[in-house]
Amino acid sequence: MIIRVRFGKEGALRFIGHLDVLRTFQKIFRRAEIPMVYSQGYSPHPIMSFALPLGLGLSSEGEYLDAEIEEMAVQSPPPASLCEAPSPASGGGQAVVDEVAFPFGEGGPPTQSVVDEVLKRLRAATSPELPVYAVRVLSEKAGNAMASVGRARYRLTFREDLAKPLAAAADRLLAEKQHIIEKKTKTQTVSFDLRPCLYEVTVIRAEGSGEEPHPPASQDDPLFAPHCLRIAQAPPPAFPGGGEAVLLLVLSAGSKANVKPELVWEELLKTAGLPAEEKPLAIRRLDLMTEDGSSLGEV
Amino acid sequence: MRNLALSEDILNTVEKPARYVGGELNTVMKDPSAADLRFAFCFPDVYEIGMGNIGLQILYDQFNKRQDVWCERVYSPWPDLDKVMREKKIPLFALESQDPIRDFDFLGITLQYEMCYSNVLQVLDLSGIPLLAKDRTAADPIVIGGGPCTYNPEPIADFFDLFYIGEGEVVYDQLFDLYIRMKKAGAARQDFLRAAAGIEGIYVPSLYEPLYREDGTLADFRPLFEDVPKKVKRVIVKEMDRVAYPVSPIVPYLRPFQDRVTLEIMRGCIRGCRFCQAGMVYRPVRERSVESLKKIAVEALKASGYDEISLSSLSSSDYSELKELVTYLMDECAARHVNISLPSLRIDNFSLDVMSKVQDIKKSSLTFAAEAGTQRLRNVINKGITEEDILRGSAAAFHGGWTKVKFYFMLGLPTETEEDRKGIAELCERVAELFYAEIPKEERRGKIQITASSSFFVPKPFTPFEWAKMEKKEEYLARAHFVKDNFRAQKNGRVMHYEYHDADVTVLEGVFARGDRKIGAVIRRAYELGCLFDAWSEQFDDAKWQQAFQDCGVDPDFYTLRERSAEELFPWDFIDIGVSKRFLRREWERAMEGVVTPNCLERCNGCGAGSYGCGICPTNQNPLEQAARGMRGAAGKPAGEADGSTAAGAGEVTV
Repeated sequence: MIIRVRFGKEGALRFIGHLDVLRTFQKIFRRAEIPMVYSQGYSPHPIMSFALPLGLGLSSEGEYLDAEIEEMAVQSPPPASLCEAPSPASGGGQAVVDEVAFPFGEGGPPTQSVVDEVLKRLRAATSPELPVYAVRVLSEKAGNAMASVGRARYRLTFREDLAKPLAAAADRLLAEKQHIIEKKTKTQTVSFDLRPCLYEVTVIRAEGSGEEPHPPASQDDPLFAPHCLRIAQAPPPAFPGGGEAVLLLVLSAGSKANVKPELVWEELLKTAGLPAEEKPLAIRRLDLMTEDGSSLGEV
Repeated sequence: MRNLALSEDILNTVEKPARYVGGELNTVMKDPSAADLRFAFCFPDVYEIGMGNIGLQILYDQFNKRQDVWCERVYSPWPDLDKVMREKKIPLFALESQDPIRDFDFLGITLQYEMCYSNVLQVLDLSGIPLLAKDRTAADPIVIGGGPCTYNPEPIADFFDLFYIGEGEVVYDQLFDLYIRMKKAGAARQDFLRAAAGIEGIYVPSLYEPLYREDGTLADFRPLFEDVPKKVKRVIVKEMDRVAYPVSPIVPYLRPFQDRVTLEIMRGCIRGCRFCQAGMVYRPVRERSVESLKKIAVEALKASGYDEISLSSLSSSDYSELKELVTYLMDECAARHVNISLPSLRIDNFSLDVMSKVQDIKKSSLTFAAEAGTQRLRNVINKGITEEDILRGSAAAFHGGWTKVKFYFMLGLPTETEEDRKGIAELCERVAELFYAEIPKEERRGKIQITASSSFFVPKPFTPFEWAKMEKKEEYLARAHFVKDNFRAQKNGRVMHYEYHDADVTVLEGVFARGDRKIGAVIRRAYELGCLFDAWSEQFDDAKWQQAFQDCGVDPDFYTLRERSAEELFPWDFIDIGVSKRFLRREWERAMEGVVTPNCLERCNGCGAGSYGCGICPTNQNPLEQAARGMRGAAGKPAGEADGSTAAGAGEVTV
């Protein structure tokens, strides 16, 4: 059966490249003793594919991977070494958190129990900075994660004093019919139209103060807060505080047209007449979506 | 979430930022306020190299098992970050907590090869710790060195407060207890160092004084105080099964040099090759039991998720229960989709059978550490491999489907002549001819490929060759060119490829290997001139080193081109490794006569390591076990080593 895993990248993991994350997940699955299906051939490798690489330095709560796993018995508890609650001294393991209700995996038993088991084991085997949020079984007709990606949602945090000019720039950009950009590749310069790649460009300014920046994760368990699953449908987050503003972007992503959030940021600066040296304070990927805008976690 | 020591801007601009952020699987996080002693474990090279070190993993695990100690890691920042840290005055930090090294109690530096010495100074410098131990105060960490290079710590003695001579499992607890006790009592740094000198295996360089003769050789080397021992005895683990092994190794995100579980099956080597320092300083041989290894292997694979496991030792074929271990691992690994890598195996039916099961024959190659081109010279170095062994092993491998053969040689060995250098290409030619003779045309799967590489021999302390002279750089190159021309002249020259190592580095290694305290100033000067990452050929700058020698008025030839007299007192003679200087000298004399010395299982040669009273050592064995091993030892002579490293690297666990 093929499962889809939603995971995030936090802290140090933001600086781990795509191939290294891929290799790490192969290790996490083996640590979790989840029986993987292997490819044929002389050097078999686990069948696993990732939706879309994330740029170095970006955090995320909306990463996906698909993996093919063997049928597994769920009654048997995972091996003792992985079950043990880690001592306070050990940062390697992850305490198994309480089960929460997920919108995924409606197949009912026994599929649900397999999903629960896989989730539990992955969480015990991963590191706090590579949180695993949810697992579901993919239906036969669902396309793989990589092929399904059509859009990506990002949140850019930046200095509040830029909010006003950037909001105006966003309005102007969205009012354009087309927005041609020259893109330099190694060999040539190609031009393409950015405008149809923009699904959402929203600046949210701070109002009042003291409100937590998004995500308003619960303090006791910030990594595994169940709200993370519903981000795709959630209304835009509460106003950030502390002199920071937020830019929400939904952009074309995947194999057909892939627009990086940094590019849109640069275009907004240009449009607003701001110096190109201005950088966002942080960029976070919130979710990946299909061509029609539904979250990859819900397909 | 942890705070990172480097800003987003910096991390986004340096090459491979993953080197500096920590947070890997199985790393240990603790509450710093709960630790009485914070230890920064440094491997003074880039992250990917250092992460593969098994000694680091062993001690990290061991130290962190103590509630009152938190051990973290630090590596050398690559030159791009080095520059940024200097410009922005960012102090060097540990990966786990990202806290500055300067605030730690200990900075432990593992010294795996001489060419890391400039990096040691970089680590101290970036940490804001005075380079010279004598300039340090109560505010600085205690800087302790360990690892293979401590068998002659003198060239870097000025930079260290302490050296740990021997295997890390033995006296660190004692050292930590002492430190914590004295720290709580408010003792002075100097008093702690003096007390530490009383622990077996701990060398405190500031408590000793070298006296030189006019000719530059050592006249005396003596402790400054009566309570400081004259000799420092290497400490070793007596029973391997009684010390823990890291079953939850740190699993790096960034692909390291060794991306696998390393299973150390034994320490030491029975063989007694005369050029090999590891073969002398890790005596006697001590094995882990096969039952404990099976358990460790399974646990480590589970806890790490690695898809490969490799056996580590100086000579795996000499492990007494190799068959049982390998058979077990093959079953376990097949079930888990895990690969096995088997370095330094003697070529026989068993090893060929195992290798054909675990490796892709088409891709893998067979490696012979022949070391010398003629039997005469192989006898001089006591390399117990004959041409017949090589040809027989090659033939078996050719029939098994292998077509790639690698050879390792050394140039500049004592007594080497032109005959020996000619012998290198001739031996390879005979192996090539054997392929065509043994394998009928229609059965050949691809053509044979022979790769031979030679390094230049560097005499090491505590080997029978510690008296030997080296050559000038030009002479090394001339010899290598001669061998290269020889290869071209062979009938099968087109299927043979010959390469040789850098000669500049060889000469410098020679100086460091047998240098004295006068070398410290040169290392410091070279560092000031900008030397860094000397183990990386693209970073190594010989001109700067030559400049440093000149600036300090030190003649490198004194250390390399001189054959030492039998009576000479060596800078490292204050260390007692168990093996006696008398034995080494006897071996030197036998080498000059071209006489082979049997291995430890065949006969006890009275090397002195028996004084430890442990291990596979004929002097200490109970008679029954002795008999069993004796029979096995007589049965097999080494027939070369298959795919993997030669005797370097495995073995010792050290900081």
